[in-house]
Amino acid sequence: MDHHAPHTQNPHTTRTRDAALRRLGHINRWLIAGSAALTGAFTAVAANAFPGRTVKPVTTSSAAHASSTSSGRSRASHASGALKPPAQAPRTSETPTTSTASSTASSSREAATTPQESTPAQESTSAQEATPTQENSVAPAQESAPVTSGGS
Amino acid sequence: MPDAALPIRPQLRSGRRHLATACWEAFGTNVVLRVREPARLACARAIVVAELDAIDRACSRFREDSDLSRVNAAAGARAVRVAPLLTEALEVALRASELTGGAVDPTIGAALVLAGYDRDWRLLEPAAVDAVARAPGKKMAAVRARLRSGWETIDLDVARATVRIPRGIALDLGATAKAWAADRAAAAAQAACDCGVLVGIGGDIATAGDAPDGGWRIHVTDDHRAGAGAPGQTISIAAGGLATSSTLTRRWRRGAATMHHIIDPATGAPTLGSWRTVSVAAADCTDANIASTAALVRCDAAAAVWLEHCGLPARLVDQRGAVRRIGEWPAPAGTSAVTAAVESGPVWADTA
Repeated sequence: MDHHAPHTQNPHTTRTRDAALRRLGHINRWLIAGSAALTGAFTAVAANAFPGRTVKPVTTSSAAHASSTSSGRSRASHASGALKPPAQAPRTSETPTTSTASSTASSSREAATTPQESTPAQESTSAQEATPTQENSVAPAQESAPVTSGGS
Repeated sequence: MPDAALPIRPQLRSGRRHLATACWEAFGTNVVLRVREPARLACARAIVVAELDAIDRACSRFREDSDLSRVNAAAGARAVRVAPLLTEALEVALRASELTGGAVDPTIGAALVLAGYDRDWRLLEPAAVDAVARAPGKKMAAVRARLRSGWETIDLDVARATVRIPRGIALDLGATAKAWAADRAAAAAQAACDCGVLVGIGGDIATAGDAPDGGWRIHVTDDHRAGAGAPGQTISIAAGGLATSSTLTRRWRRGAATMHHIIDPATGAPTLGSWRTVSVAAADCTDANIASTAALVRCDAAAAVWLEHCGLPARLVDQRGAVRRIGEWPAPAGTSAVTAAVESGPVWADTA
């Protein structure tokens, strides 16, 4: 028995090896493609789960459209500046002695209120108010009831 | 409306001593319009009605056809194209969130629904009278809204006019839209009618143009429906806006608990601070309302410190009815003008 004789490959074995290598190549390509697809899918899921937080320069509606996308963190035109105090501080006003009613109607009807600021005849309905030249829907400013500011 | 259709009586024009007022309902509350030129009331009213209607169609949480409802319905899905009015309203709301550190947050819609505020509040079961009289903090059941929320999760594209919010979020612009609408309506009416205008929506008051002699007179109190005869203080403003927020109004029952509409975004439940009513004057009604709402949400002394830091004149009323004035808020007639001093106010809460 000659153990050092040149090894002659069986053609069948060679074909089998080549076929296996091709299969491995295919499998590798599928694995790479699958990994890329899964990465994309996971990225999309994560982006949906944790949206926003995009910090971009503040933009306004008149600014360049390219940079106008903003999240709650990066505010647009109205975000500038702090809360603004009034130009003049409020002043004490005398409590009306001839008027106690609010100018805010609580009923659903559309009617002029502030009854004490005008005579009953002056408390016109909305239709009457729509007549701009009527003087009887007006009252001297000094006698008008204050508008009410309260919780709503 | 052109001025030609509204003849101005010379004596009114020159005298500037007359006011005219109209009232109606919108946004589920009262609207007050007051103008310096009575002849222009109809013009101003038409402008204000149109403005409020447009804002309601864009920003109402209770209208299925509003842009805001479409955004809420698409939460977690696509970006929704909306009217420019809603993008502007959202900008205002997000600015409020930023300036208040999240104390005012437009993403509390889900918490409000969880608290039972899922329709026009007038359709909710009203809170019992005694629930108003007692200290709210002791009776209030906290609604723990285990919801992911936060104003920073809103994706607003101003240029494309699209809004996208994550799943679980619902927007509610109740904290800012009313005051912003008052500012817009007052400015629009003043521009169209060329006269001094005051617009009040549910107690949030905006002015534009020249004020009457002595300023616009305003009575601040717990409930804007109570009228000028209710306990409170009458002041006048020459310009800008004034807003009052209160936990004593817009209350309803949910089971055995009494709820109100001022939600603390940190807890998702109605706020339980020591202040019951806060009035603030500012350069416009929007800023005033942002400050008054945030002060109710912020805890106790922090609210007063923050308001002082902002330089905003304010009047805070605690649960017992004690009044504290901040900054340049005037003292009531006949009292000393001690700034930021605690004064013993009338305890009207227990008798309200």
